[in-house]
Amino acid sequence: MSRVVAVLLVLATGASLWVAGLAGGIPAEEHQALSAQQVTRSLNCVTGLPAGRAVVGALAGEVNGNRPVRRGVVDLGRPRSGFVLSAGVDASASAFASQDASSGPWYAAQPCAEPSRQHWFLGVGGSQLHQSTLSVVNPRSGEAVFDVRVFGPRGELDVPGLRGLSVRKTPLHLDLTRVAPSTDDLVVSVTAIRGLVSASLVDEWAPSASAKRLTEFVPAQADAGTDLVLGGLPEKPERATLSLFNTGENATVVDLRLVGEDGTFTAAKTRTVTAAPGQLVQVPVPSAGRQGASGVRLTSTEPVVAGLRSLAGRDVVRGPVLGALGESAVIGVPARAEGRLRLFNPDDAAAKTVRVEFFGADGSRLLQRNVQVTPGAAVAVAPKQLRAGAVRAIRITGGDEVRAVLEVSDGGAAAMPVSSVSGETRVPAVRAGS
Amino acid sequence: MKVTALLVSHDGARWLPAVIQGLESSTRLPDAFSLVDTGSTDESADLVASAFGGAPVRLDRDTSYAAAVAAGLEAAGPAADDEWVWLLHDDARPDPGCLAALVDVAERSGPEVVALGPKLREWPSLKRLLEVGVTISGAGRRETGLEPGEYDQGQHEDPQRVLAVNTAGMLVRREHLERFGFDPDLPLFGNDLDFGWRLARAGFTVLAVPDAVMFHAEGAHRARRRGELARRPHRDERVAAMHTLLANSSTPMFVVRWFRLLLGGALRAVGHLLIRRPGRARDEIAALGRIHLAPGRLRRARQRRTAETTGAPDGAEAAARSLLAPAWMPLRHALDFLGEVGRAIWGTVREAVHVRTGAGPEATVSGQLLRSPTTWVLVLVLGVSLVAGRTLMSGGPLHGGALLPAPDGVGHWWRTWAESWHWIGVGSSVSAPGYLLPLAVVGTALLGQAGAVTWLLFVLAGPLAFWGAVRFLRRLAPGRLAIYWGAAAYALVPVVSGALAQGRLGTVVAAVLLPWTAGAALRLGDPAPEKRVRAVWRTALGVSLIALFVPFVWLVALVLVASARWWYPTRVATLSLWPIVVAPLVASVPWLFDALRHPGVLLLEAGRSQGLSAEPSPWELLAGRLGGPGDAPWWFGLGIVAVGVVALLRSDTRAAVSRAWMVALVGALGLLVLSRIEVRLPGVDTALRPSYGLSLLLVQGALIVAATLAGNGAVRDVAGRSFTWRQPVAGLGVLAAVGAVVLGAGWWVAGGTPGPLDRGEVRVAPVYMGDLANSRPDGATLLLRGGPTDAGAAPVSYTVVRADAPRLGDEAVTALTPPDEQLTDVVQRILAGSDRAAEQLASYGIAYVHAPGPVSDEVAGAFDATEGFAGASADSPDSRAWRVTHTPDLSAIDDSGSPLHVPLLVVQVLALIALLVLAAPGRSDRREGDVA
Repeated sequence: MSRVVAVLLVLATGASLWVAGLAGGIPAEEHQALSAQQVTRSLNCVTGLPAGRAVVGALAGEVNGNRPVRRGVVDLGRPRSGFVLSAGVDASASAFASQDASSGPWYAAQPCAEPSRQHWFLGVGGSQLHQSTLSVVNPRSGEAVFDVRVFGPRGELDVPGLRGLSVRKTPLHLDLTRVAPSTDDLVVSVTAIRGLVSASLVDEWAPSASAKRLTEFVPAQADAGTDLVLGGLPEKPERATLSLFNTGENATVVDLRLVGEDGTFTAAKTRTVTAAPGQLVQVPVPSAGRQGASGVRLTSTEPVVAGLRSLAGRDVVRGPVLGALGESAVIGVPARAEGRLRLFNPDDAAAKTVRVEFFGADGSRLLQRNVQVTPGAAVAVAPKQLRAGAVRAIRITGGDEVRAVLEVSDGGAAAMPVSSVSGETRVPAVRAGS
Repeated sequence: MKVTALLVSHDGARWLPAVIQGLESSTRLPDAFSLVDTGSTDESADLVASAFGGAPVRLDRDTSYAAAVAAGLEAAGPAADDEWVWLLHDDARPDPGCLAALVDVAERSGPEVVALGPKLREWPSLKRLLEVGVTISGAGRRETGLEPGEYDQGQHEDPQRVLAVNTAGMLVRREHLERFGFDPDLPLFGNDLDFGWRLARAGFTVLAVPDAVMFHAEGAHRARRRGELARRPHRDERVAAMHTLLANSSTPMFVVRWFRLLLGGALRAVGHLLIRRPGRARDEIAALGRIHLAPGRLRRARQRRTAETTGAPDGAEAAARSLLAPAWMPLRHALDFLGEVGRAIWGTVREAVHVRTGAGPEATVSGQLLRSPTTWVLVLVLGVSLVAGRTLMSGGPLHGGALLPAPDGVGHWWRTWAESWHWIGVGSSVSAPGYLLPLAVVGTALLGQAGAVTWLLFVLAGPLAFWGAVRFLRRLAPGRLAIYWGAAAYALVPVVSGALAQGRLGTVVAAVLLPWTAGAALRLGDPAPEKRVRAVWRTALGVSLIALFVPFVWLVALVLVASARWWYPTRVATLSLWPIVVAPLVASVPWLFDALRHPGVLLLEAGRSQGLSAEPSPWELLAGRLGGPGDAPWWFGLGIVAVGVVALLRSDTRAAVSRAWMVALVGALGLLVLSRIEVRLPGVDTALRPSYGLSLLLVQGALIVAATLAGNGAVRDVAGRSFTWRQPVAGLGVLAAVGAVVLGAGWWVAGGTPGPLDRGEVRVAPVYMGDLANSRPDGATLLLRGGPTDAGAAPVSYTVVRADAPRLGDEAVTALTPPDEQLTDVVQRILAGSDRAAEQLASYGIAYVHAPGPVSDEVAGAFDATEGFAGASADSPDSRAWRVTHTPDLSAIDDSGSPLHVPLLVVQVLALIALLVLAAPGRSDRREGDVA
C-alpha cells in the first residue's frame, strides 16, 4: 500500500463521517393537534316557565327533538319540560333554537343554551322580591357533575350541598331562595367538573316592594374576559344597572364606555370602576338613553363577568355579554315577536361589513342585506319584515369580531345575544401512539 | 453328548489363523465341524479348508447369518441324540478351556437349558470384558450390565440365567436351534438377542458361563470389515433392535414400545446432530424408516413368535420380561453421557489452556489460568465494569432509552416468538423479532430469569467485548501490551459512544459478537479445507446472530464477501462463502418476511428506536459517538482517531493497517448512506433515522485494529533507530492511545453508567389495571396522552396496553403493525362527543382508559360525559382513569395468525441448530466409513 492510498483512505473515511454528521436528526413532525369536525350540536331549552314557548329549526338538513324538523321553523308551542334539540352533522351549522315567554307586562326570550364547562350568571336573587331558579341540563347520556358557587357583595357564600351535584337525563332545578336565601344581588357560577352542562337561569324581580315581579332569563357568560361588549341597553331605560364581578386574583380597574351609532364614548359620570377580587360591583348607567347608547363596552385589567339590567317601560331587560359572530351565526326569532337586530363593531379602526339574511317560517330567505358597521359603533337593522314578525330566523355571515344582539318585544322586551355557530367543533386530533 | 462346531466365515482372514489356533488348543475339541463361508473375497475359505480338512459350504456374500447357520446345519448331516452346536465366528477366538467349560455346565444342567454362552473379552486387548450375557433395554440398546471398559478380574464366576448370549461361542442344542432358528429378517445384527428372547418366552433357559472365555474382535460391529450386510452397522443395529423389541413384545407393550422408539429415534437423531454426528442421525431416521415402511415383515415376525410360544409353561412370559433391562437403564446411560460430555469439555478447556500458556499436560488448568496475565486483565476489566455499573446492581428491570424492560419470566419471550398472533397493542399477526429466540434460550439457561439476560448483556458488555477482542487481536499480532490496549479500547466503544447508556441492545450485542465473528472470518483464507469450511460456518453463525439484533450487518457482510478475493492473501472462492450471506436470511425468518414489507426496519436495531433522539454532530461521529444522552465527551475519542492515523506511518505494517482502514471506510460509507435515510414504519408515529451503532463499531474497531497492528513492537522498533521525527510521533501516538483509554475508563468509573439506562419498576397504568391486563387479553387499558393543555396543543395519542408495561420484543411487533383506523375513529368520536362509542371500545377488549397527567380538559371532559365510562382510580392526582362499563370482549379483533408461522419457525430453529452444529468443533467419528 502506498502512502497515497493511505492518505486517501484517511480522507475518505473522515469525509464520510463528517458528511454523515451533517445530516443531523430528523426534525420533529408537526402533527395536527386539533381536527375540525362537523359534529352534532345540542341546544337546550329549559324554561321552567309555565308560559314558555320554543321555536326550533334549521336552514338546512334535519334536526331532531320531540319531532324531526327537516328544514324551516317549527313552533313548539309550550313544551312541558325542557326541550333538547339535537342537530345532525349536516344541520348543525344552521340549527337554531330559541325560547320565550310572556305574561302581563313582561316578556322574556333567549337563545337555547349550548353545553359548556362554565356558566356565570349575574344579578341573581334569592329573596321573595328577587327570586331566581337555576336549571341545569346534561345534554349527553353520561353523568355530568358540577359545582355551583354563589357570590354576594362580601364574597363567596358558604352554601352547603352545591358541590358535586350530579345530573343525568333529568334537568336539575335549584331555587336560590331555598339553597342560598339572600336579599342581595348575587353572582352564580356553574362549573362542570365532569362532562358538560347547559345552564339557564330564570329570574323574577320586582323593581320595588309594591311592584309586580318581572320575569326574565338571565344571560349566561361562559368565560370571564378583559374586553367585553354588552348589548340590550334599551333606548330609554328608566334605569340601567351594570353588574361587574371580578373573577381575577387581583383588584381590577374597569374602564366603562358606551357604544352608540356614532361610536364609543365615555359615560358622563362614571368612567372607571374598581373591583376587588371576587367582588360584585353594581354601577348605574346614567343618562345612557339620552346619549343614544345601545351597548356598553368594558375594559379591565383582570377578567370580569358582567351583565346589564335595565327597566324599560314596564319590563326588565337583561343585557348580555356579546360574543364574536365568527364566520356564521344563526338565531331563531320567537313567534309574534317584533325585533330589531343591533350590530356592534368593537374595532375602533376599521369598518366591518356583514351579510344579514332573514328567513321566514318555511325556511325561505325573505331578505338579504349587507350592513356596514362603522368602527367602534353600533348599528340597528330593522327591516319591516322583522318588525312585522314575519322573520323567524336570522343568519349573519362574515361577522368575525362583530357582535350582535336581537332586541325583541312582545308586550315587554328582551335582548337575545347572537352567538357564533361554526358548524364544526375543534376537537383534539387522534392518532395511534407508538 | 455330541458337539458340532459351526464356523461361519466372511472376509475374516485377518483373525482366522488365531481362531483356528484357539480351536486347536482347546482342551475339549468339537466332535464334528461344519464350515460355511459367505462369499469371502480373502483367503478365509482356504484357511478354513486347510485347517479343518474339508471345504466349507460356499454361499453368496449377501447371505444372512441365519441362512448361513441353516446351511451349516444341513451340511452337518442328520442330528444325533443330545447333539449340541457350537457356533463360531471367524473373528472370535476361544480360550482353550472355553468349550470344556460350556459342555461341563450343559451336562450338569436340566433340559430347560438349551443355550449357553461364554464370557466375551475384547480382542486384542484380551482383558476388557465385552459380554457375560446380554439383554435389551426399552430403547433398543444392547445391555451387557458391565461398566464401560470393565476388566475381567474374575468378578463374574457362576453361571447365570440371561436373556441371551452372543452367537460367538454359543453352545445350543441342535434340536432347538433347528426348531427356533435365527430370524431371517435379522441378517447380521441382533439375532442372538432375538433368539434368546424367543427361547425365554417359550420357557427355555439361556445361561452365561463365565468360566468359558471367548475373545471377540467384533469385526462387523466395529466396522472393521464391510460386507453387503454390514454397510452401515449402526443403522442395521438400530433396525435389528427395533425389530427385536417390536416382534417380541406383547400387544400392550408393543404400542408403548413403538411410541417410545418413534419418539426416541427422533430425539436421538437430533442429539446426534447436536454433537455433529450427522451420519448417526441419518442412521436413526433410516432405521425408523425401514421398520415403518415394511409393516408386513413385523406382522409376520409377531405371528411366528405367537406360534413359538404356544404351549409355553405359565410364567415363561414373565420370566422373559424379568430378564430385560430395567426401565431406569436409559436414564443411567443419559447420566453417563452427560458425564462424558462434561469430561470432554473439560479436556478441551485444558488442552486450550495448555496450548495458550505453553504449559505441559501436567499443569492444572486453574494454575495456568491464575498465572495468565489475560486472566488478571480480564478481572480488572470486570471490576471496572461492575464499579461503573454500580447504579444498575439493584432495583427493578433494566430499561431506558431504546431498551424496554425484560418480562418477568422468559415465558413471555417464548410465547411471543412462537405464537403467530400477539396480544400486543390492538393485536398483531406480525412475527416476533428473531432476537427473541437467543434471548429466550439464554434466559432459559438462566433459570427463566429474563431480566438477568439484559442485565448481563449491559453490565458485562465491556468484559465480554474485551474477551472477544483479546482473542481476535491475538490472531493478528503477537505480544501483549498492544493487544490489551486494543481490547480495552474496543471494550470501551459501546460505553463511551453512548450505546450502553442509551439502551441500544443491538449495538451492545454486536459489540460483543463482532470480535468473535471477525476472528472466525480471519480463517476464511486458511489453507486447510476443513478449517476453512468451519470458518465459513462460524462466520455465518456470528453474522446470523448479529443480524438478529442488527439486520444491517447482512449488507456489510455482503460487501465484505463480495470483495473476499481482495481481503485474503490466498484465493478464496467467493461462492464458497455463500453460507455467510444466506444463513442470516434463513435464521431471520419468519420475521424477515414481515420486515421485507417495510424494508426500512432492516436498518434499525433491536429496541425502541423512537425512544432516542440522537443527532450526532460531525465531530461526534469522527470521535465514535452516537450523540444523544449518556455518551462521553467527544474529544476523548480523538486519541483513537489520532493513533489510527499514526499507525499508517509505520511502513512494515502499513499493508495490514490499510486493510483495517478499508474496513473503517466500509463502516463510514455505510454510516454516510444511513444518514441520508429516513425510516417510516406503520406502527411508529415519527420518522426514524437508521441505527448508526454497527457502522460506528466497525469504524472504531477497525481504527483500534490498525493501531494495535502498528503499535505491536513499535516502541522497540522506534527506540532502535536513530532519532528522527518518528520518535516524537510515536511518543504522541502512545500518549493519544493511552489517553483515550484512560480518559474513557475514568469517565465511566467516576460517573457510573449514565442514564437513560436505569433500573426500576415500569408501569404505564395503575397497578390494578396492569394486573388485569396481564391476566387476560380482554382486560386491556387504553392509554391516552396529549390533547390541548395549558402547555400547548398536541394530538391525542392512544396506545392499547395489554400488560402492565410493554416488554422487550413487543416494540418490534408494534412497529410493524399498522394502526387500527377503526379504533382511531372510535376514540375520535368519543372526544367529539359521540355516544355509544364505549361499547365499540369494549369490543377491543379494553376494560379501562387511563390518561396520565396533566390531562387535557377536552379529553377528561369527553370521557366524563360519555355514557359507558365510569370514573376509576388513577395513580396520581393529576391523572384520570375511567372504567368501561360495557363488558369487554375481543369481537372487533380478528386474531388469526399466519398458517406459515410455525413452519417458518421450524426453518429458523433448524437453521440455527445446523449453524451451531457446523460451527462447533469437529468430532472425529472413526467408526463411520473407516474400515480397518
